[in-house]
Amino acid sequence: MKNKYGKITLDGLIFNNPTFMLVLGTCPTLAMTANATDAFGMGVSVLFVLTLSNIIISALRKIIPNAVRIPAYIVVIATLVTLLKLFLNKHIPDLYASMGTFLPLIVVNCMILGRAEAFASKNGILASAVDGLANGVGFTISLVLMGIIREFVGAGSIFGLQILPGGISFFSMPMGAFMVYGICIALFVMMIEKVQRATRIKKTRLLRAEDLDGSLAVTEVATTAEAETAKEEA
Amino acid sequence: MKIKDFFKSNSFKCIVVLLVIALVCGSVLALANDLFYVSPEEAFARSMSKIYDGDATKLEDKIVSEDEQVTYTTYNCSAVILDAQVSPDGKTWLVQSKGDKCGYQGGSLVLWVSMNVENGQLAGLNKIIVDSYDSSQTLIGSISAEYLAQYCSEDYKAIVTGGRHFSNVRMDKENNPADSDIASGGATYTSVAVNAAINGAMDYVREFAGEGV
Repeated sequence: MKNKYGKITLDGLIFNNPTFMLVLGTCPTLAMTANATDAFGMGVSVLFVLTLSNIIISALRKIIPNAVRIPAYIVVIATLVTLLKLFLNKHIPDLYASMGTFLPLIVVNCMILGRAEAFASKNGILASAVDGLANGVGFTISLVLMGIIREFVGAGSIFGLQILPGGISFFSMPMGAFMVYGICIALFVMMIEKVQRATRIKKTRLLRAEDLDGSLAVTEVATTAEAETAKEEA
Repeated sequence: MKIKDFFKSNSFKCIVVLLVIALVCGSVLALANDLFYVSPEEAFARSMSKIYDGDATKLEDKIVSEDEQVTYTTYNCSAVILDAQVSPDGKTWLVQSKGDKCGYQGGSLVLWVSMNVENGQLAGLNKIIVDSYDSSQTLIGSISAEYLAQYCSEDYKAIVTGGRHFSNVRMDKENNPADSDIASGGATYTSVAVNAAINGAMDYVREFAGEGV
């Protein structure tokens, strides 16, 4: 049971990371990572919508007929996004203003609909909640990472805190976003492959060791058995 | 298909499920809309916060009711003070002033005038922002805050502190060659209304600044 949730979490965070591994939600990733603060705001917004939509859709999965599942999911997601929009407008107007049109566009974020269709509609509430959380956190971390890189290189600051006197403004622009995104994907995939290779080698070694132990044990058993038969014969 | 069959069919189930989901979502949103409603006052406070770089929340209402509206007259134009806000320390005043029916074709315009006060005396103009204007004010709509900001420089401190009347917003090409794209000859009425509204705001602060909130 624990392994199941652990696997879901690791998949969402690392092995099926929506931004770097599945390349989903590219539009907000490129548009909202000019600075780390906006990237964090977008990440948390998606985390909220994704987790709640997964929970609701999972709870309704046996009620919603297959023929109307997509419109039903869209209505649920759109409601959550509108709720979030109203909340941000009331309590965090600066973030609301900075997110602009990308906030309502969360409705059509393929990651959210993708998780609803691929996971929440087939799994229980708890598993769907964990999946939503893991994917949302994975998305947030990716966005913040890109935001930090772009803000630092582009403006010399991190989360608005000026560290260097200036930066290369190219990285604050859309071209810079594509470049940073590409580099991040390459590094992430390289890192994951290294980890997977190391795990594979470790597993193979363990299996070999187990095999060797097994054969030794078999030999010992055989020797003892042979000695006993010899004694009996004598 | 019989009616009874329709009610047992999958199509009917689809319609019902979608309707119920839409109804529940609609109700939740209606509730949330009330819960997270941003009132005009709150929106106003936020706008002011932008003008004052985040200090607007410290502003408090000075005049709210219509009975307390004050009228000042300059250049044969009446300026009606609609609203006034002042920071708790009394150093920043924000006055909503209307140049009443003396603009082009008898039109009115409303300005927000931000002023500094030192030791209970008017010390300078900060910003002038066009709040609203009626349709007959054809030119005022093209006047930006940047355009009006040039009238708030240090040069006008003398006018303010000297108690003289403001007469600088002139919307004709001769006096404002730099603003040829917005200034136009013959816009005398509009400039009278603008100047009167600013003067009204200044006179109001001159009269009430010593009293505080």
